[in-house]
Amino acid sequence: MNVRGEVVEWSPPRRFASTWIVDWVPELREFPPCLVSYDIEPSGESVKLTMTESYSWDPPDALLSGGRSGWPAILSSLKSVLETGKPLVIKLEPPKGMMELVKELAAARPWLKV
Amino acid sequence: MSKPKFVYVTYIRTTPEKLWAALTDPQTIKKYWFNITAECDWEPGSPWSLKFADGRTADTGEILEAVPPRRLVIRWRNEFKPELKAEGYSRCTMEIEMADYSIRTRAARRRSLPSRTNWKARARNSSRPFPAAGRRSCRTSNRCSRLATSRSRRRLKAVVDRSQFKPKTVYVIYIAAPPENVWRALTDPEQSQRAAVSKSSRGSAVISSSAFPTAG
Repeated sequence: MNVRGEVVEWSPPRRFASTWIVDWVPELREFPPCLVSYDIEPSGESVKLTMTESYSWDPPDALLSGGRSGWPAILSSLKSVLETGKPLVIKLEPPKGMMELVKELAAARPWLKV
Repeated sequence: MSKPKFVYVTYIRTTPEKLWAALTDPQTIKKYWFNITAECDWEPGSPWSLKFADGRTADTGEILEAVPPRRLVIRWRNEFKPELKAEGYSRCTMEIEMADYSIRTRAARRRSLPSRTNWKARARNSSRPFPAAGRRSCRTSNRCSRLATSRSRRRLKAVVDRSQFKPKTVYVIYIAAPPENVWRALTDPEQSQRAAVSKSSRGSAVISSSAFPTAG
């Protein structure tokens, strides 16, 4: 799996945003890029990290489920690394039916509809 | 059953038994729940309540299901804010699953919770103009890579209209670390390799699941 993108905001150490173009299957290259931003705010003795995944179209929940299962693992591991120096060991897999859904969407191109 | 209104998932390096104990032991709850005390015997049908340190009741309800160390379902109502109490009971489900060597707990609440994220404000913020080209302070203090970034940002100004992007997934996590360390972990390729997000120079981000930690 590979993700490309470009930095849209770089304000260390508070906010980082970049587009995401996922291309682990050819059909995904048809999709419009999504925008991922990280906001870092001090909160007491800790830091509040907010990850926001934004879209320029209205993706179905089934497509969003990929990120919704992956982000908690990635960001929990980030927390563990920063607090303990050790990452978590978690096996990540795309949700069932994701490939079929990606193919359907690549054919229907719902993002072209206003 | 109605659709969950709020789902939060987190991964914790522990065992299901220890996590179950942390979710149900009053002394442990007090440590992580900002001095809140839980009163309950954790049997299905038993009353359940949370109390503030000063003795006021925060929330009340009932245990609907308790399957240690896998599943805890609580019927839950706020007691200390009249407008939240008026919303009535919600159902909070906590599920603990093994995820290889880590386990995760997931709390799903079925109720229309007051919005914790101000989406409109967020959308407004995200449509702010980009910072001026070249303002970026880059870890690689290499002139060439900075210039390359400025160029790509100018091009992006024309391509990415952020007001067109609407938030669809928001994940919040609190980390006991300085902001600079969190920033570095998210943007420094060497560090973020460990946390699954890596970034190449020249303003392009590369995120690869193959960089996801596989060794303990």
